[in-house]
Amino acid sequence: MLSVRDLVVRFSTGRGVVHAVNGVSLDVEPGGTLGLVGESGSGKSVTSLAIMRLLPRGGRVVSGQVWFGGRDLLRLSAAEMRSVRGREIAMILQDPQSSLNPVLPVGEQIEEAIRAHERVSRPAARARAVELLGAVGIARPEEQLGRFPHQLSGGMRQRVMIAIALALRPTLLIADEPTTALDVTVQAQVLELLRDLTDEVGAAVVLISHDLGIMARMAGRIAVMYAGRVVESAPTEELFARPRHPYTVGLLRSIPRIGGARRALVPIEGSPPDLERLPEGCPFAPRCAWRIEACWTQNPSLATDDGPAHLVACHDPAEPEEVGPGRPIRPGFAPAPPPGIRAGVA
Amino acid sequence: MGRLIARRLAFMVFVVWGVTLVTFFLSRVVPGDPAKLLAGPKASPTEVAHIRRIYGLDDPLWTQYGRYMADLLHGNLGVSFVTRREVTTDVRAFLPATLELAGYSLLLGFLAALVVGTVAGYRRGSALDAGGRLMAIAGLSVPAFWLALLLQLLLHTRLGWFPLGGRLDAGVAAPPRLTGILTLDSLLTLHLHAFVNALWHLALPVLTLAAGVFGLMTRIVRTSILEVVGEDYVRTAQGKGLTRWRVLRRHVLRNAMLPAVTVLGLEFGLLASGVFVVEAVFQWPGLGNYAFQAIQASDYNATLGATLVIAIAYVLTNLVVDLAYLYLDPRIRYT
Ligand SMILES: Nc1ncnc2c1ncn2[C@@H]1O[C@H](COP(=O)(O)OP(=O)(O)OP(=O)(O)O)[C@@H](O)[C@H]1O
Ligand SMILES: [Mg+2]
Repeated sequence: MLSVRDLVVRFSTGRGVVHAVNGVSLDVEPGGTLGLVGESGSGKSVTSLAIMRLLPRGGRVVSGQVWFGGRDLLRLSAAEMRSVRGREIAMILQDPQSSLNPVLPVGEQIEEAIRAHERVSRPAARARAVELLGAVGIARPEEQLGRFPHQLSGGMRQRVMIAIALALRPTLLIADEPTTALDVTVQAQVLELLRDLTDEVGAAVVLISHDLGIMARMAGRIAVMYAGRVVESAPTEELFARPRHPYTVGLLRSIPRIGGARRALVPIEGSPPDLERLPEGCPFAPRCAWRIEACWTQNPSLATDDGPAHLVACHDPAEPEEVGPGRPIRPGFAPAPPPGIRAGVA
Repeated sequence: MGRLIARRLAFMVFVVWGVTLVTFFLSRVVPGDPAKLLAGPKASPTEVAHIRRIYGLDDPLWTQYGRYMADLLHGNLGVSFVTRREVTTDVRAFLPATLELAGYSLLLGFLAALVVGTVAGYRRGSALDAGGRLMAIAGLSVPAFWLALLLQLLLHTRLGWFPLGGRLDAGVAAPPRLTGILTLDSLLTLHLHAFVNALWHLALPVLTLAAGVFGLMTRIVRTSILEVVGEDYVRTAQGKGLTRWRVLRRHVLRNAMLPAVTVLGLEFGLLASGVFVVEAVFQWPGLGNYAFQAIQASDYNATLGATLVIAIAYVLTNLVVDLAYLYLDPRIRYT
């Protein structure tokens, strides 16, 4: 239903060009949930904003396609795109503190979402808003319509955001870290609500999160992003059981296993590349224990591996027995040194 | 809200008191003898002394001040030495002209700033933005008297499109006085000819005053638009599929207005000083001209009365600004 192909997004800033998204490809099944994970700055938010064509100032889609319902969204007119937003694709932002307009009552903010696409009277829209607030578990919904965002708790605000997003029963919901700003207990409730309601509406979901625990519970499929690219994509269980990309291996090792034996948090060494000066080869190579010579010169493309559903972009993926130790265990293997150094040695 | 109004009104009492104190003593230490002026150039010293006694100008200053304050408490501002009328009568005669001038200037400057500031903010870095900013700087830095003279020279002397000054042409019958605001009175009484003529006379002085309002306000609006446009809630609004116009009106402008409204209080000072200049240059029969002449003639009561009215207007303006802010920002309303 949603199929992103080779999406490239750049930002022109005063200092230079930021290569925020560098050829992202994603697929979301109707009714399915795709999890997008990756470190801060890996391009998750920019990808989702590019899909909605709501990139902030300075951001530009350089190339790629966003297929949705048989059309490339990037080629729609502004008016056509407007009729997609909110009605077919809805969006929930990370911070419920700032994603509602502080000076308008929440009732109006729900009603306008309905009235943007349907010719309904104000009382009818109001009745729908009451119904929606009830559906997202807000008590005495009539009384809440006239209240302002600052009068609601963070959890309630995010419920209002969910009500707005699902008001028109969209076929796709993009939720960008919808619970990061909430308390842990509230997080669980909001996630559960999100899952129940999207199931009921039949909406597919793109869920963005840092939290692999959340992903394990919510997502049917996970795409791992690094430096503006998808480096691995697989059904959730498959990804947890048999990660192939060294970066995914590192990510999985960096979280304490829920239920399993407690392990110390192992952060991945090194830091992500400078998006203003991307290397020629694989951007993860400098941090990678599996790297071979090709990694320094060729950026691998996303290709099937281990069956048609499992995609990975890596010249030298991790073998199953290497996942536990978190490093290659092959006799005589050493990570390839950068090209310059190798020349010096030879 | 009641508490806010009460606080402001209490504050007004202090302001009025402070203004009387300063103006009263200041106006009496500057050289000038109203009794001499009143008596006329051919009056004998005895006549001058007589007039001085009648008006109590011989008494110690504190006694005079006490008398003035006692009168003030009864709403009596004394008699003008120049016009020989009650100062309250004079104020009633001259204030509407100033209100009309200032009101239109504020409105025009504010609306123009809203449009130009919004366009500049939306199209940051474009030629439109550069043009808008240039206009804002010009509006702020060009002195009112210079702009007034320039407009007169160009649009009156050269092209003859607008009158040189005054509120109405000599041949035009003034509408019956209801409020003293000519455009309003003429509309209410259907004197359309007078209405058009009044607007025509308003054009140049209003343009001059509005330029200053526009200059400051445009910068504020542009800055706050830039800030608001990047906010998450604007993205949420766009994500709903709202039209650009609705996003602009209900989400961007509604929030970007808040700083602009705050600045309206500041604009008052700018406007008040501009009014003196503009009324002088355009022979506008307003309070600024009245006060100017009163000061020159050492007309104590008139000077004091006009100053008081300006001070009260200042406090009231700020009260209105506060109430507007309260209305526009629920975060303050409900705390
Ligand atoms: N408005 C902007 N101007 C310039 N660069 C930007 C802008 N927005 C994002 N970027 C850059 O794009 C890259 C990707 O950002 P993005 O917000 O998509 O990351 P993310 O994966 O969502 O991270 P996080 O987990 O912190 O939300 C970052 O390097 C960021 O600096
Ligand atoms: Mg993000």
